[in-house]
Amino acid sequence: MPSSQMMVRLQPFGISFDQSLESLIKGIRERSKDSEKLAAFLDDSIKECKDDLKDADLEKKSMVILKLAYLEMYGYDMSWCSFNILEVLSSPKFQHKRIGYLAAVQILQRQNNDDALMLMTNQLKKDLNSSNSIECSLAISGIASVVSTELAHDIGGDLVRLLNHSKPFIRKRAVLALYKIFLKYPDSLPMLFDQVVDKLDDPDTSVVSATVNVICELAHANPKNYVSLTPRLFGLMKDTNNNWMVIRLLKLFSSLSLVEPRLKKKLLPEIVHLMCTTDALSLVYECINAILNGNMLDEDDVKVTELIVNKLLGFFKSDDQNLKYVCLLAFIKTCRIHKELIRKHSKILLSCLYDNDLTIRETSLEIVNYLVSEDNIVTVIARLLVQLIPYDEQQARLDDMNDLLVDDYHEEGEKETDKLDEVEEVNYPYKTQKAVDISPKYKLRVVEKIIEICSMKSYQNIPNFDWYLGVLKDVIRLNTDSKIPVIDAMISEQLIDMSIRVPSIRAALVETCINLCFGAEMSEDDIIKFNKGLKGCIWIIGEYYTDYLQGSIDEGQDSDDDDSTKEQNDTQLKATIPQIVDRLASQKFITKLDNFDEGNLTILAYIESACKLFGKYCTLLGKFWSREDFDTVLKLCNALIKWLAQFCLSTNFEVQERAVSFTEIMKLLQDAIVQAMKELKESQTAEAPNIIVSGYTQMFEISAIKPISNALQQRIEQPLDLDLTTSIDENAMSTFISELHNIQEDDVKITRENDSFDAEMYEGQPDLHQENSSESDYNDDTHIQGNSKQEIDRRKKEREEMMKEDPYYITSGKGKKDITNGNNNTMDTQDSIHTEQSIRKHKTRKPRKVKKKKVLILDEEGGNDETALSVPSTERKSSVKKKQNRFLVDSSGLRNIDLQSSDKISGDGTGNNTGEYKVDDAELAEVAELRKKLAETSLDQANKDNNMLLSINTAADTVQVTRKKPKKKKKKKKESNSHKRKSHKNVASIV
Amino acid sequence: MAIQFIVILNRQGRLRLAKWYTAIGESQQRQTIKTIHKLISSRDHRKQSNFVLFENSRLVYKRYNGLFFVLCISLEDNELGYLEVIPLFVEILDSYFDGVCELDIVFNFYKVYRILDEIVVGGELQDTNKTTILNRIYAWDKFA
Repeated sequence: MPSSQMMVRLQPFGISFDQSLESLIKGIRERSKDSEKLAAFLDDSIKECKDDLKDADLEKKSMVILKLAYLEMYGYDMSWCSFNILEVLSSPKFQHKRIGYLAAVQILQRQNNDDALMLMTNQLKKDLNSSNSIECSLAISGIASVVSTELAHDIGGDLVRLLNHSKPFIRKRAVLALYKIFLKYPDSLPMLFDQVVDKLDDPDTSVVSATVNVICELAHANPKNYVSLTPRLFGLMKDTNNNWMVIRLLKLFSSLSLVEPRLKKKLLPEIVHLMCTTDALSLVYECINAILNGNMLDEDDVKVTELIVNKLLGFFKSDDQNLKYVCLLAFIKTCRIHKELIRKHSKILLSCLYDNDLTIRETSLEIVNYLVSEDNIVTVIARLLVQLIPYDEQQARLDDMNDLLVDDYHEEGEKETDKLDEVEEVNYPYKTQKAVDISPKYKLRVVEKIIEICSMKSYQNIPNFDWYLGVLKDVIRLNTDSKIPVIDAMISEQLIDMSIRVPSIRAALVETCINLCFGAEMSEDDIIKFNKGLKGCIWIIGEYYTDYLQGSIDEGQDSDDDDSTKEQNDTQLKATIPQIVDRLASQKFITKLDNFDEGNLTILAYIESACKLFGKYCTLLGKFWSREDFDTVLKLCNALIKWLAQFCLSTNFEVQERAVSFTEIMKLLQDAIVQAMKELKESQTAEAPNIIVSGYTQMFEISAIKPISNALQQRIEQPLDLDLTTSIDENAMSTFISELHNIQEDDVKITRENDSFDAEMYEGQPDLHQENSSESDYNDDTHIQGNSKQEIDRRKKEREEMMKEDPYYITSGKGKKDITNGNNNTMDTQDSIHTEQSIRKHKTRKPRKVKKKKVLILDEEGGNDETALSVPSTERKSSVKKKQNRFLVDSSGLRNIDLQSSDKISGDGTGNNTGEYKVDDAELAEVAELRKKLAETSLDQANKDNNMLLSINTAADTVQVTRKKPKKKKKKKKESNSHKRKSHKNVASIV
Repeated sequence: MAIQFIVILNRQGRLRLAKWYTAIGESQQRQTIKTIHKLISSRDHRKQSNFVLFENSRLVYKRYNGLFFVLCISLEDNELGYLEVIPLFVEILDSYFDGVCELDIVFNFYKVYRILDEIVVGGELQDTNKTTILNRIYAWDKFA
């Protein structure tokens, strides 16, 4: 045992506490390098303290408590000594009391110390009322730290009395401590609030500042209670030169402005003035924050926004990372209101994406959505992508990119000197990107962002899908080393989405997927590593193999190659279905996939796709097969049966069932093929077995898969006030039936007279006609019989438009196919507008950039408007919000307190704000008096400032408004309801 | 809103002062200190900002020699404003100890708590004037 430790143990009694504490600290410091020794020493010290506490001497006890307060910092739970702390706390000697309070604050503040706190109440009361102001202030800060609900109950009254203490520093502390009381015991707020508000007029400025602090916190929880204070607070803001208080006032105003938008008129000019005149950056920042958080910025406040943006850009140009960071936060908020204005500065803002501060990088990801456009997406993605490259290789890539940046910068500089409004931007010093080692979590964020900004608004920003496919391939490749399985799943989902929406990329996609699943350069281990992405890839191969054969594959950036040679290469290189099945059969790992999460789903996708491919192969052979064809089909069929056999005994029921069903079907097909081959005899070709051509293949090919808006289902909800049980019109049904009869007759006529014209269409959609079943429509239809070709076309288009919106539209297979084609046509025209624009842009673009390509993007069924899409996203948001931070002050209790309710004296504040407002006479009188009072106080200042006259009006207004507020809210709710209903109508009316 | 806790750490992550304005358990405190140290010590202090996201709040910190002064504030608070609180605190410590160093804080931890108590009460800033605060602290010493 080390001698020093012995020394500590043998420490003589009666040593003065400073020395004892010093030796403890020194002892700890000596052992700080050896954690084992340190732990032993700490344990010994605590044991020793425990022993020492048995001594009755208060002097000694307080010394021990002080030591324990120090030891507490090393992470020990010291609540066992609570009662000793109380002993020391109640000592008449100030020295002891001080230590007692320190220990109480450090040790008793934890939860589960209610017993000790209860015993402490009396002592606290005594100290609060002590004639010694220092003791009193000790007690106040003690309360502020340890207050519990019971304590708040008992001690609130005593604290309020201190608001009128002769010493300002006591008043100041008392106000702040009262806030803690309100937090724990919200019901006391209505009783005590007036006295807190009175402190706004305290002669001592620091007391006023503290009061503003408290009101600011209170208003944050429930702003509507404090709107009536606005004129007073506004006066304070104009008079004071205490920046901290102004910051708090601004925060307060932004809370108030949320519930009383009319404050904006008065506040905004003043805040803007403040923003332009002050030197304190934190104040400028708070002004901007207040404007943004208080919803004071509308879309037509262009001037103010410009001012804010310029201020923020000023922050940005300073080399201070702190300013840059806060500025970025402010920009994110501004973006939501003024996208266009910010877009002008996208270059500067996007430079944050490769700032050397990772925090700034990460934060800037949030703003990218607003800044990205078709023109800059390639550079943006490159900036993001390069961060995924392993650290050692990053710099080499970055050097190239930074060189380009410098060129770019100079070029832009020359070009834009004549554009006055953008000169500023050019002055901004360009930054170069440095290699940074990033965490997997951030990596995932980057990948998520890449996908998000690229797929935004149905791929609106993608100049060329081959490029995007290349990006995704890069992501997969970069993910092979540092494995984040979610990324593979995300990418493969994205590939599926693309394959469904963008027909032109399907060929290249299938090629990519074949490489990923069966590629020669992929070892089995590589493929297993990619297990999360396999499901999507194999599905794409199965679904779009035909597109793969038909399309030519464009290798993105290398598309300058001679086209003819390329095509040749393509046909040579394309994998045939027998090859794929061959490869599939050799991949033994598939059976082991069920070891992974969702591995069984992957196996299901494999089975489905393999069988689908078989079908495709048969279709590709045509209706008449040669002997050779029969041979290969039979071989393929046998191979598949053999392959499926390994899944027939799978432990997973779904896999087993799927395998068994397909095996049986395959056996049927096998029989049919053998039968057909017998009939083949000498002839060169024979008709393919019917069961395959018009049975089996139909299973997979009859209808194309379409993109469906994921909010479609949610959007259709039954309005609450819609009563479906009572009939609106008793005769409606009989009228409807007769109308229907008419229409059906009509249909028959049209079908006969317009021979092939859309016979299927009409059959397919009787529901459409039910909707159009008015008299005039009937006439219209007969008009068609007089058939002007244009009219028919017009109506056809109209119908197609309607069908696009129709979520309930169910058709027979044939009809559906026709409609899809029709859809494609309309989409083509829409799309051509889009591409025309892009072609125009294309002329001005630099050669090294990615070429834009005209591409058809399928629209979602059920529309992809933003309201529809927002449904799931808000859900996600709210679920995130639920994650409560354990450090955040829980002010939820304050939210229920309504200071304006009539029963404020009773103190029963719970649930008041949900109730109706009853304006009784007493209250009206009170309001009148309040107004008068406000008028008087404001009039005093009116001599100095004529503006204040205005504030009287606002005061009167605001008081009234608070009364009306709940009603207004209801109205809003109704509005939003009716809005919702409207959107239902849109959907419903077509049904 | 307001300050949720104030922590002084040295470069090795050893706690020099911790003031919590919300009640949390002792194991959570320990975990928090560890996380904070990990978050902050890895940052480049010349090139990176003084703000770090931490759970659902924000850390505002400043380094003085080997010591990190860390405040935890909520996301809607003014980062720049609270960043100015740290130099205020340090300047007051500096005047009081006449050139403060880590050892002063270690051996006089109870005095540092007292000084902090004069600046922040229950998470709220009570004064921003250096002289007023210093006068109050000296008044204490006279009294004791």
